[in-house]
This record gives sequence, C-alpha cells and structure tokens, in this order.
Amino acid sequence: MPVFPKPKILLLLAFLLVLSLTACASPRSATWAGVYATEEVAYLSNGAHLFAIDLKSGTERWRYPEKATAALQFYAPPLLTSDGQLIIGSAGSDNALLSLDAQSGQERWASPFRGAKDHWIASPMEHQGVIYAPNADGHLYLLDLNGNLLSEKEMDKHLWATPVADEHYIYLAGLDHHLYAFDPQTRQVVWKADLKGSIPSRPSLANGLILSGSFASRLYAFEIPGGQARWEAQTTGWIWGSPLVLGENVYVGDLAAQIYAFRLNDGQLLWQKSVNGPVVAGPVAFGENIIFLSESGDLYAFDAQGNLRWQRKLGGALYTPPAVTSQVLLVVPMQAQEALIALDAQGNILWTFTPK
Amino acid sequence: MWDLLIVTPLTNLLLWIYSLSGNNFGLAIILFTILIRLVTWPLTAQQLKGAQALQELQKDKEWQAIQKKYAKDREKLAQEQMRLYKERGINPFGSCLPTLIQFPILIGLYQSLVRALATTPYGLLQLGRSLYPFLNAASLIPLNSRFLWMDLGRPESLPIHIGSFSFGLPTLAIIVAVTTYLQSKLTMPPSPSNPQDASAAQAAMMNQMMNIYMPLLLGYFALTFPSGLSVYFIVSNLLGIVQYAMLGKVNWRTLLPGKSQKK
Repeated sequence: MPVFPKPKILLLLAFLLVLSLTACASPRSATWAGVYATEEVAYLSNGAHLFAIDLKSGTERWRYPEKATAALQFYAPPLLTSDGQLIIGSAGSDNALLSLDAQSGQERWASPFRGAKDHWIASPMEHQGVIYAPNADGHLYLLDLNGNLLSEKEMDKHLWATPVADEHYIYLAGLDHHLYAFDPQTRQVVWKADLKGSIPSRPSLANGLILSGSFASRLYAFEIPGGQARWEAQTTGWIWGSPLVLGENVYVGDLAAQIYAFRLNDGQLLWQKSVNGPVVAGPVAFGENIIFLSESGDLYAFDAQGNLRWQRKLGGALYTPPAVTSQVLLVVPMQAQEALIALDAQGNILWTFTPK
Repeated sequence: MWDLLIVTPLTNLLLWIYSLSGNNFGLAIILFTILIRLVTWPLTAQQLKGAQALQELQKDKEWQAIQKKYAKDREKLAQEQMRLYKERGINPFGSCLPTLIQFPILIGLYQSLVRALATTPYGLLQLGRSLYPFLNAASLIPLNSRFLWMDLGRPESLPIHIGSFSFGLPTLAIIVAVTTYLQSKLTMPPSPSNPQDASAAQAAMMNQMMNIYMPLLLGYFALTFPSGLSVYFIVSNLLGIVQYAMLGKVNWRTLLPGKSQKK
C-alpha cells in the first residue's frame, strides 16, 4: 500500500504515456508499396528499400539503400526515364527525390532533390525530357534529368497521383478534389474540374477523353484538351484506383467491393459484379484478361463481358496496382510474408519474392 | 475494441466539429479540447476534492501522531493510515482516478488526430472506414490542416531569419512546456511542513520532480509529434488553470521566487 500514491502513479502514467504515444507515434508508420516492371526486371518499392528483382528467377539483383533508415521510405514505384534512371521519391523523414542507375542501383544525381516540404506518395512522370513530380505539399515540381529544379507550381492541396500527358497538356489529379490540365509550355493551369471528392490515383487517357474516379463515388469523363464534361457515372463506394480503358469500355472498382464496366463513349453501365473485398487498386489488362484485385487478397480475371475466367486467393491485402509484362503479372501483397508474387496468364504462381 | 470505443468516436467528433467550424482544423481542436474539459469537469472537481481531503488529513493531529509513532514500522504505518482514510471517508486514490480516466482520452485523441489528418494512403483508407454516415466524408477529406503559421499534421517550428542566418524556432514546444509548468506549479497542492512526516516529504520531492519532468516530456512530444497535439496540450493547460481558478484552488503565490510549496 503506497503511503502517498499520487505522484508515483503520475510518474507511472507519464511513462505509460511515452510508451503508448511512441508505440503508435509515426503517422507514416503504416507503409504502402508499389511495383514497376520492364521485360527483365521488376522494381519494387517496399518500406525502406527499393529492390531490383530478376523477372526470370525472382531473385534480388540489388537493393537501395543497403541499410534501412528512417529517412527513406518508398511508397510508390519508381519512374524509369528515357536515359535509364530510376526516379523515386521518399515518404521518409527527409522528403528526398532520388535518381538511381537502373542497372546498378547507384545514385546518379550529385545530390537528391530536397526542395519539397512534404513526402512523396506518387511516382513522377517524364514528358519531353522533363520530370513532373507531384508532392504531398501540393506542389508539382518540374526538374530536368540531372535533378535541377526548373519550376514549381502550387495546387490547392496534397498531390498523391502520378500525372499523365498527351500532346497538349499534363493532367494531374489532387486530393483537393480537382483534376488539373497543366500547360507544359506556359507552366500554368489551363483548366481544372471539381470531381467533388479526393482523387488519390492517376487519371486515364483514351479516345479524346480523360477519365477519373473520386471519393464522390462517381466516375467522370472529360473531353481533352478542352475539359468539357462528357459524362459521369454513379458507383456504390469511393473510387480509389485508376480506371482502365480497354477497347470501347472502361473498367473500375470501388471501396464498396463492386467492379464495373461502363461504355467509354457515353458512360452507360454494361455490367457490375461484387467481389470479396474493397477494390483499392485500379484494374489492369493482362493478355485477354481484365485483372481486378481486392483488399481481401483475391485476384480476379474477367473477360470484357464480365465473365469470371479465374480467381485466386493470394492472401495479404492487395492495395496497389500490379505491374504487367508480356508474360508475367506482378502483384504486391501487403501485410503478407511475400513482398512480390509473379503469376502467369492462368493465375499460376511462378515465383514469390521475400526480402532477406 | 479500443478503436471502436475510443478512436473512431473521437475521430468522428473531431470531424463533426471541424465541419461546424468552417473547415478550420485548428479551431476544431480548440473546441474539441474545451468540450473534453467540460465533460471531464466533474472528474477534475473530484480530483481537487480528493487532493484537498488528503492535504487536510496531513494537518490532522492524529495523522501526525501516527507518523511519529510508527516512523520505523512502515507496514504498521500503512495500516494505520488506511484506518484513518476509512474513518474519515477519504479515498486515497480519489485524486488519481480522474487522471487515470483522462489518460485513454489523451492517447485516443492523439490517434484520432493522426487518423483525421491521414498523411499516408493507408491512413486515408482507415479514415474513410472510420467515418459515420452522418458526416459528408467525401466533401471533408482532405482536412485543411493549416492553422495560423502551422501545419497541424507536422511538428511545428517558426522560421526565424536574422540577416543571413535562419533557423526554425519550436514555438509550440516552448509554449507547451511553459504552460505545463505553470499549470503544475499553480495547481499543485501545498505540502505540509511537518518534518516528521516522511511520506509528505517524499511526496513533495515527487511533486517537484513532476514539475520538472512533465513540462519536459510534453515539450518533447510537441517537438516530435504533429502540432495539432501541441494545440491540444496548450489549450488544455490554459483551461486547466482557468478551471482551477474558478474553483478557487489556484495558488498564485507558488509562482513567486522562494514561495514554492509551503503555505
């Protein structure tokens, strides 16, 4: 029985408070992952490392950095530039944008670009020799291929989505609910459209349209380059991933575990199916199949008419879009032992990669 | 269960206040803190009552007598103290219980702030799932985390430029440490001056330690965690002083040099 318990208990509480707050301290503690692939190598962003993985054997070629640090955390896959650089931003503590040699994994720039005020969630994009890098601080940074800042443009708020480009403009989506058309010549926003909800993934371009879903549970189509609204279609839940345009159709999934096919020209619903969990990643085309992933760890292959060709339970949580080569589908499960799973067109696992 | 009962309701409450305060997250945190202080007012009053009862007991002749009589027999001393607590209807933990109850609120608030600000894709996914249907979540997200010169989702430092020399001054961390110190100092009950009472002397020493360590600890939190939490600490500290003053329990003399603990 303590004689005068209060101060001791307060000290104990303070100690517990330190433990509790530091245990759940970092708002960035829950990581994200991404993959990009050529026909020979997969580049996997996974926590504190970027891995280069041989596509034939599934073995590690190199990793960057050798030793993990809190300063570097990679959420998005790298951009492979026309001159063989991998450009990748860090969501770690130093907000660095780095250039690595795609062959060796050695740093290419004299020093990383550290001009951004927040972390890098999106992959950058290269267009006509310029790197367009959107940052969570709400700025689009333009750099040359040597890492020199050319200019920066401030949007309303956080930018988490990779831009896309056509011969006219750079198109950029923001969590601030807007889809922007940015003129690379004047470096000004030409038009912007309010999509009534956040847009965390890149828009898709096809047949004179730009398409994007948003947290307003709608899929929008705008004409390009002018930005006139063509159609919008209602979904059940928030749309997180990028829509996939294939032929005359556009495919998308939502967080209410629904997947949809709409007619590209007018947005008419063609078919809708339920899957086992929320669909965060956008679908991809792999051979004749349209591949959907759900958070439940399920992988689905549909044909264009909405017939299920095969389904495979991979485990973990599938949040980020897979990479596709002519032979291999690369899936990044999170909260799973494997960091990368390679499958063939029939959904058979070819190999798995687990970092050592 | 923790998430369902603490973090999710606090997150929704915070976002509801945010939607009512013109999408100003700083104002929402201030209003939220006031609300938490109002809800826990009876607990604070109980804490004061318990502390005062303990303080008065230490001036009691019978208490002082048993301190003297059983100074070398701590077990017997504890038994006698318990008997006195029982006889006088005092709960020795009465002043600690409110602090214990506020502890999960603080942890929950921190987690709610981090969740509401959703600075990672996974965090945003979690936030989307946490929100109750009555909130128009799609229009609220992302939160406007700018408040005055601060980004409430990040640790704060005020850029200072003196000629060609510039540095970031952790203003909020300093204010958190100072207000925590002031609150501890102003609201700490005075210790009795009885030199025979070893337990009271020990308590006084612990109080002094708390006066030093708590401001440093919370200042460290303010330095390293999102500044939204610092805003909560500052408002909570100031409201604490106001609340104690309204109850007539603030001891302003303790701020004067040489008047530390004794009345």
